[in-house]
Amino acid sequence: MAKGKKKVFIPISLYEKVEEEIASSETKSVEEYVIKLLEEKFLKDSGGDLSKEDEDKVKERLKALGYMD
Amino acid sequence: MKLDENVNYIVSGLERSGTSMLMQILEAGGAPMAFSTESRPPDNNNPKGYFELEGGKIINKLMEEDFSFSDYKGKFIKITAYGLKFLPVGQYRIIYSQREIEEILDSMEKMAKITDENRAETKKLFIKLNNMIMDLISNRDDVEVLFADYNAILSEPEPNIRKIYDFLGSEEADLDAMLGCVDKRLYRNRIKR
Repeated sequence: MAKGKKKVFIPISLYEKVEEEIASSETKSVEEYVIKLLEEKFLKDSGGDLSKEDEDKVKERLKALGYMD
Repeated sequence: MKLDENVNYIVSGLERSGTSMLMQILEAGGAPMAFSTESRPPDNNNPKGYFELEGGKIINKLMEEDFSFSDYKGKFIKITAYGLKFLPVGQYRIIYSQREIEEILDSMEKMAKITDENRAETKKLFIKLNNMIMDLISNRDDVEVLFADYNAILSEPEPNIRKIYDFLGSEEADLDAMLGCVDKRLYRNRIKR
């Protein structure tokens, strides 16, 4: 098993649906798809608004890219 | 082409999510646009230009409530995602670009000429920002929004650019010209399979 990862079993039918879903996308594997989905879910559930700290970090990045002074 | 002069039209999305490509598509289709190339001319990161106002520093103007939306009614302007947090009450139609987050991060690193040592944190931050802004504009009564998928536009231009054409709601828009300006050669930060 890959270091820092845990095995999860999902129904074959669901696995195949994901395979179909990603066939025409840039997602490389079912694993990548599931990780992305879960990351987005938990980030979304972690609060609607950016904290002040998050917002300051966004501003820093945007300044580095030349989108803000 | 004439758009509704009571409405502010905006192209948005995270930085490096394909907002400039959307502006190119709209310009090709004949949509009225407002942008300046003087303060931020085209470069290797955006060879066809940035299509920005205020030298790309429009977010600062919005935060300071120093941007006159009335000057740009009936025209498309580009305001990247974070700027939409400061949108005053008005009447808006927004085309919001969505792109694979890894491609966005690759492009940001390339543009800033850095290797992001905290890429995982940056990824979380920008996913969170993106979700927050998409929720915000989806729930405002004064905003009509079309979410445009950058990756899908490049892989299947016809149905996806047609959605943009339909959103414009003008028979004067030139769909063929809109389709013609999708340039796969500029799709440089695509994730390799």
